[in-house]
Amino acid sequence: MRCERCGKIIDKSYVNYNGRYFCPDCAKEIGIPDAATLASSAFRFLDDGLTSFFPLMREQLEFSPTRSQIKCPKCGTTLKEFESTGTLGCIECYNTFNESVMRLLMRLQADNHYRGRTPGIASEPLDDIKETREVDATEIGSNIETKEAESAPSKEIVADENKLLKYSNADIGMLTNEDLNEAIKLAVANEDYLLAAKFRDELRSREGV
Amino acid sequence: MKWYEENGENSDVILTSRVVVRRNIKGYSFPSKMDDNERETVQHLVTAKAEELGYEVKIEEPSANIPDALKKRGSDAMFQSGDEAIGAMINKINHLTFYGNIRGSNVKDMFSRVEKMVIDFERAFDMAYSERLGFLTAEPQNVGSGITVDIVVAIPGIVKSGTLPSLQKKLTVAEWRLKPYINQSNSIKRPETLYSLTNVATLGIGEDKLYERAITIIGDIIRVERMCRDAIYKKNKLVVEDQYYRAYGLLKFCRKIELPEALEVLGWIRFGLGLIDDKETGITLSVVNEITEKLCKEYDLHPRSFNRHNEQRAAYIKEILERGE
Repeated sequence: MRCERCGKIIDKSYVNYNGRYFCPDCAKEIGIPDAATLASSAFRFLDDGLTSFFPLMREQLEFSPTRSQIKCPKCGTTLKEFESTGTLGCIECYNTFNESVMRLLMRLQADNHYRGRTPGIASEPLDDIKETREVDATEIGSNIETKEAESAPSKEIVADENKLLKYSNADIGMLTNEDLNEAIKLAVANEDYLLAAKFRDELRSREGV
Repeated sequence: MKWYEENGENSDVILTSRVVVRRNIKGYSFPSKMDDNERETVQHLVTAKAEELGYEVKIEEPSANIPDALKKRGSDAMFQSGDEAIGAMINKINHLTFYGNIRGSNVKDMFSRVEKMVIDFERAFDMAYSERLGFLTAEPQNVGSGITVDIVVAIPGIVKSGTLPSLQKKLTVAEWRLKPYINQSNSIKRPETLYSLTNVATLGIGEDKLYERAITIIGDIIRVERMCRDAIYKKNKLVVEDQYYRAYGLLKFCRKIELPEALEVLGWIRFGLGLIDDKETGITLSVVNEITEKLCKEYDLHPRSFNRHNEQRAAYIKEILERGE
């Protein structure tokens, strides 16, 4: 589960406030009282509840006028329009409504990172997939996990090459430090030292070296 | 031969398989915000490329009789292969909505054909793409691979054996969803035997893995369904045979029938076909599939008012049955 405010993954400790889930940090920032505070002062419950409710409301009110005015500078789609139709007007809308889009994706998808192929480059052929196998009713889906675990070395090489191509085509400023480290390793393994140096320089400039 | 004229493998369980891939061309607004000029440009670019690649292009101009206020902007354009199995719609919700259809379970070739078509267009145009989110689509829920695989499965054995909840749970873990084909929320519910199997994730999974999962899941569903049918028949032979012949009698002689009821009784016939040594009715799997397909089409056209025309429905079912005997 993820915090509905910052998107951080919540494992054990979370705050449920009016059916919305927050991480402890966000709950504290927006003034939601924790369970221990509420339990320790039963008579102050009403008072505390109200005082903690107002900052939350204020935050929403502060957001409301701003949110309703958000408009894509390129195609003119408004946030209201997007929220009612679920459709974006152009690529720029992804930047303009980034927060709402990411919230939607967090709700719908288990992973919000793309792991598919690069445009114009074919993925692995489907020829070696086995279709015939004996299973019982309780086994459905189990082979999906085992199939993922099996990977031939040649497939790995192809995957690495595709990954490197992806990094080399990417806007270098958009790559994370982890991506850059991985890209350096892949470029070295592929003996593309110029590319490796490019990624290394970017990493160094970020680190202020 | 057109794709829908073929019988398809394992069509006692898998009726049709469909894949949809969405792509948009960089530099143009998505169709909902396109002006006429952009719409025409995209249509022209795409149809020219489609013709170059050997696809049949169809452009439907808006009818002159429609008042201007009601007229849809621009023309409806699409292209497709000669067998109509693969193709794309232009400027619908996305610039390009590629599709592939096949009867039965042999989806591997269809996936490969669709992938090849999509890649040809990706090489021809600079597509809207981001390193982090993948292919950018007009509806953010499809961002990433932009792919939806939708398989219509007839699983009376799984439903009647009580295996369905555990199957749905396992599919959820694999990020797939199995839901009834017909939404019966507004009527008295009939047992469902026709389901739609779709992938949920478009992020976090590559195209090859998605197609691989689809093929594996299809194979598993076919085997489990047949196992369930066999097990139930061995245990309750009389009940299955009784339901089978009752179902046939009902379809053949009814004078009006609601759509969910028709699908329910067809489920019993599908269940019994191949298990029962039927020398009396002469009904075949292709007849059952033809009726099922007609019922599905009817539902797709009027998903909210599918319980009208009960008399016409009974009539065409009878006509198909008599033609097939």
